[in-house]
Amino acid sequence: MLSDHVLFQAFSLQPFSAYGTAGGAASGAAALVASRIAPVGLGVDSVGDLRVPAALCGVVGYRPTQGRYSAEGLLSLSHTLDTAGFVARTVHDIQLLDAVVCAAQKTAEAAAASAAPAEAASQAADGSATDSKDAEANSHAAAAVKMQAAGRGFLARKRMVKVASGEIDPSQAGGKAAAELEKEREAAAARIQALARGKADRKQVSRIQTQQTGAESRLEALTKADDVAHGEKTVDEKAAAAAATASLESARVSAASADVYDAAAGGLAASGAASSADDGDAWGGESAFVKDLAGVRLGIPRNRYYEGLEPGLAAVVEQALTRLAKAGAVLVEIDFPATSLPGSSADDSGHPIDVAVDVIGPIQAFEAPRELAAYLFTHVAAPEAPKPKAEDEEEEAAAAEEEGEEVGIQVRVLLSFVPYPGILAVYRVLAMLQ
Amino acid sequence: MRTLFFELLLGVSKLFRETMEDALDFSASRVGPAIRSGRVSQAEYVGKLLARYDADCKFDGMLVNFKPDELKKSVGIAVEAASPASPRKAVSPSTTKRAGALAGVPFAITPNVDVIGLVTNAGTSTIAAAPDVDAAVVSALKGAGATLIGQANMAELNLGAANSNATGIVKNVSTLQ
Repeated sequence: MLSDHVLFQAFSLQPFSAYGTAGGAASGAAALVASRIAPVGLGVDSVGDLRVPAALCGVVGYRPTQGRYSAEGLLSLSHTLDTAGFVARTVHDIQLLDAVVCAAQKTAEAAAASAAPAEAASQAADGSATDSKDAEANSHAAAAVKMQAAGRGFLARKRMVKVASGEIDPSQAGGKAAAELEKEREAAAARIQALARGKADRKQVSRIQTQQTGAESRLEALTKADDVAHGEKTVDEKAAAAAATASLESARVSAASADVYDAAAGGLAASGAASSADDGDAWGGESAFVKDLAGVRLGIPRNRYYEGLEPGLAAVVEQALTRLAKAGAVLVEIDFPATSLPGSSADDSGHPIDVAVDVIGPIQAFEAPRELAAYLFTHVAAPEAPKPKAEDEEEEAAAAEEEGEEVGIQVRVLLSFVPYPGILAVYRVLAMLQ
Repeated sequence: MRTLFFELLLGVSKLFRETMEDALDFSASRVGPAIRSGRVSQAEYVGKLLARYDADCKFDGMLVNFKPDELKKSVGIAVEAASPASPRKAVSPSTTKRAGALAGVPFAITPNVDVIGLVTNAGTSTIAAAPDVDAAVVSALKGAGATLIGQANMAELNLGAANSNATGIVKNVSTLQ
């Protein structure tokens, strides 16, 4: 997320002070085109990840309309927001590349459309579907095709290639294990998503968080430093806050050298564990961070939900907005870009809002776990014994913990990128206000 | 008078001839026709690009997992380590019957796009996917004749407005000049 790192990089040493940054995500491609090493660069644009580096390097970046280019083969964070795009030196180049890709896609679609009826005909000719092995093969191939059509699923793509080349015979026991593996992967991905949405078991969440050393002390340092700045603490507590600030500085330095996002989000995540008694939910406790939102007018885009969004996503975004409202902010519906924003004109009086908030953060936080789970779980050894069916929630949570042990490291890295959507929105607003 | 005439002729013809030095700065829509018609040889062009990268940009962290020898072999440039017994056929797109619209044009990708033979890792060390199938966009470009130079550096998982990776830092070239 481009805008989030305005905040996260507050916790890191900025190595670019001597020279400019090339803009983040597709920066290598943009820099190559700008320094005349390659005339064309191809990258993935989610919220300007390709256009901002192109702008900073002085070349042309192009993001097509969502769905114009097929999303097959892209390791994306959110299929709603991500699309492939180009970096080139002139707009004429972009037109040429766009024409090439669209023509190739039309050809591929026509070929697939002509191949599908032929396949169905051959399947009907081969034999009846009542035989269990054929049903297995049909369902296996149908499942693989369905996942392929969804545009995600690295495992599905691999399996499709193997099925097409005859390497996998779905009628054998190996095919069956693969199908079960797929179900488990989907279940695990759903579990990760539930974790990110804050609905997971509190015990499980806090267990993961207490593994991060010093996270709670860092959180205390954060809150104490905030309170000192607002003059709400006494002299004695100011001394303690000074010590806490020193530890925060050391945390910043360690964050710079180590995993930046892990350290920063460790503080964020620990806030959920430390004050999980508030609000009755696992990741509550924003009261430490939202003192400054009272009376602030936040502009929210009017048409923020569009066709093709995931069904549960609107609820997640509304939840985040509710938290902002609960923190005292006044939500004002605005029309991007027609609304005049503070800082947009020389005369800063008379703007309808103080800060404009985009709702992209919850979208990516919502979709990222499932998108990335397809890649993360390819590196986990498949369990040999089939898992027993969970009768009630406790057993399921225990089974989840068991499986969580195996994938602990990968899941931890993923969680550090995906905090609770409400907290993310709050943090972005605070960063913009300062 | 005659020398002046020939100089004038040469100067005028330069307007209609692309030289290698000009081609290095061309955009893709000019490089393509130049290579297709044979005025610029793709092997020489890619060789000069790689030389420029080695000279100016190698330590700027732009390309990751870069294998210049393989690229040179695929384009037809002589590689020192090649055994003399194996014949190297020169790949020149202008000799193909129906050269694509992007014949001979080099392009770079970011590592979150699937390419056969390259590791898709989106800039992080946690993910390492070895795809069997090219991404749809990549196969479209390759079908039009474009050549892949390599993987460009990127911010981890597309998260970030600055790029400092385990694999390197990308600097803003416009501030360096």
